[in-house]
Amino acid sequence: MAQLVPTNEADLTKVDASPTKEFFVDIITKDIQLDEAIQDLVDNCIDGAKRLRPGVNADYEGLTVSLEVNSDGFRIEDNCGGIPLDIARKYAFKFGRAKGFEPTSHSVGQFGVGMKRALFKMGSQFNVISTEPEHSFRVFVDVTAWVNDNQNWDFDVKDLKSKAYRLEETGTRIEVDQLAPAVASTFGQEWFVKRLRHSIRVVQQQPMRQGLAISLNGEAIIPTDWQLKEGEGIEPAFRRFEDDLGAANPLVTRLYAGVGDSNRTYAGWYVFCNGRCILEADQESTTGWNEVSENGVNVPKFHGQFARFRGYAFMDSDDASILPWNTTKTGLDLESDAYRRLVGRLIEITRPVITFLNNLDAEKEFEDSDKVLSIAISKAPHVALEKIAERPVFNYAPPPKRGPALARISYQKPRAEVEKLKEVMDAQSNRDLGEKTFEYAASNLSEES
Amino acid sequence: MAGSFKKIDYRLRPAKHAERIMLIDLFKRMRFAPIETYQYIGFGSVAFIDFRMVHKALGIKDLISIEDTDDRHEKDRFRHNNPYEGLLLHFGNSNEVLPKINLKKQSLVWLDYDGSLSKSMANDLAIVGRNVPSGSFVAVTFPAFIQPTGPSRETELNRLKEEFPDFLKEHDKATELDGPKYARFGRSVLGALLEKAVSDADAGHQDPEQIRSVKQICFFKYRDGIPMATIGWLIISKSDAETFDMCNFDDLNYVRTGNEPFQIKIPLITPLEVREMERRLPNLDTANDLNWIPKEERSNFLNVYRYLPHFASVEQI
Repeated sequence: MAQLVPTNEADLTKVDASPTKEFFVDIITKDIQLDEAIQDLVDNCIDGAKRLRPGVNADYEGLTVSLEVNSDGFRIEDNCGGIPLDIARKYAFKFGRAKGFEPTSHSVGQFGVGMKRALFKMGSQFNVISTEPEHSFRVFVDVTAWVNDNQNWDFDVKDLKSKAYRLEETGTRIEVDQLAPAVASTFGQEWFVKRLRHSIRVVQQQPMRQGLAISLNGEAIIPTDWQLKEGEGIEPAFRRFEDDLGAANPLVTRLYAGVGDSNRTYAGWYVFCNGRCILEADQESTTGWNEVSENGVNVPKFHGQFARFRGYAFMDSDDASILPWNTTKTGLDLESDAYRRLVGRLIEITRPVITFLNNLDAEKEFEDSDKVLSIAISKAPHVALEKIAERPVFNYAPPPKRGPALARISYQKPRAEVEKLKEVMDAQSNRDLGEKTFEYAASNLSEES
Repeated sequence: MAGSFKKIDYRLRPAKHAERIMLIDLFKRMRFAPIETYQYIGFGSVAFIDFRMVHKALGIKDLISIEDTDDRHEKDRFRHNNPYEGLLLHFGNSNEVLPKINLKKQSLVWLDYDGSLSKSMANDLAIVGRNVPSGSFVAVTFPAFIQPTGPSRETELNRLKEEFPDFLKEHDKATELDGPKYARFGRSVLGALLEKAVSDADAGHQDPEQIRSVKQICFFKYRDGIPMATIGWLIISKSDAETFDMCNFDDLNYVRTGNEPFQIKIPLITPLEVREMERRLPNLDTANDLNWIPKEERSNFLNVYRYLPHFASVEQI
């Protein structure tokens, strides 16, 4: 029963630096969007699944998370083991991670703030109902009443039952009935539900591919595969790194870079921490997109011609605290050791893809039959990331060229003059005319050296 | 590295020659591992002069040359000029080739560019810096000047502002880069970005003794047709600090760890003057009977005499 007031008000040598509850509620709900807050709750379900079935590639078949989001209220329910009573009492509702808490291996919850933040953000009353192997109970919070009580920071456990539950009966349900007016209005709008659906599809793709079924308003969310084009001479890069950053096991980083379909919305880097997508289609300096150079030999600012770029960075650690995410899991912690090691590697692996895409862009001017890169990229099939072999750099190995090195000349001239000259030179097409005029100039003007 | 071999006759570059020998002398002092176990990575061009010197003087067998060309005929010419079977040729831009090379081996890397100072160079340095083990050396050479007048002056200034926004302010004038300032600017920019790359790569290293840092060891300026600058750094871990001290690099008169370059100035003197001055060694600076040789030439000679090329016409050129 923490009492956050000065220890002795009569003591003139002390000043009051204790926090108010309003400060907590305001500060932790300020910097998070509603959809991100909901993702935090989904993260908790996934950590439940990770505790229930440990292992990096565990099978989550049969585990479900269902969300209901509408203007009347919010529900999220899973069958992932429930919150154990002891954990609920000591850690789950505490602000920040307390000493003694044993973190879930490869956890996606890290800061001990996600659930409270999400619930405070959404409404003024909520219930967290847990059924775990030995107990079932409900934690009920009336936020307004809680904030007004400036002595006591506890939440109440209600309906506590001690009973043995079968594993399939366990799970957690969270209900928010008294939505804040602005939240209720947002939840009632179709665009929000669509955005949430897209965001869950991207962010939670990894656990869904392991078999976790997530549904939103009764409709299952189908994960998309991460793929890159491979074949026709196009070889995506795949590198793997292990970094000892002080955790029991090294941080494992896997980087994939290559090309996909031309689409600006999906182009860029995707960065995952323990399977959780932190950055989606990033085209900013965070992932190295700022290395400008006139001759185009660096990673430039993002341009339209890079709409085919795709990069995937997966960082996995049993100790979530060494991963480079920020607390809202919407960006990278640029000061973290893991990020400092990452960014140079991203630039290194991006660079050859950029050259390829610049060359591809330069083909626009070519005759159709000369567009070798465009032909290769349109023919190359999409291949799932797990089928891609380790290769330090993206590569395009064109078929061997015959004959001397060629240079392309292209220019425009008034059509009437072109037609006139075509007749004079007996040229069949504009291209033919171009070649004939060049040959004419070459034979008349070049001197043998 | 791209195409300069077509413009410059590599045999007629005395300052460059002196620079190469100076670097080799410096490599000979390195005590981090037997020098013949290093790999040497450079831009050999058609003549592969630095490669021959490195192999003959240091016994290094692991040689890798990067050539930025995809022209079949040029590639062929490079292959025919390759002096050693053991010398590997990689064709492509250094930004792309360097990540393909195994840099986990102690390395001597000389990025001898003929293009202007650019972010791309910093990226190459970063790739090397991130990956090489302690005891490695990396140098970069680039033309170090901005046109004193004309439209290209502003273009160059704006390009540098765009590529190195942390190092030039929006309203800085081109005069910030005039004369000796350009090379100093390059030194500070490339040094800082190399340092960042090395420090980022070792962020969170669990053994503080293994954390590497960057030590500038040389800063040359010379004329090779145009003003050129070379800056060289050693990348060493804390655990190699003592070995670094044992190398006594400071005993080499051309070692420069700061913002003042060593000027390689080739004295313009006659063979007789060379003989006269050599006879007074090592007391040339106090010899007062040679005043008939201009003071500047005497001083230039004293600075570089050990590294001067010997010219003789023994073959038709």
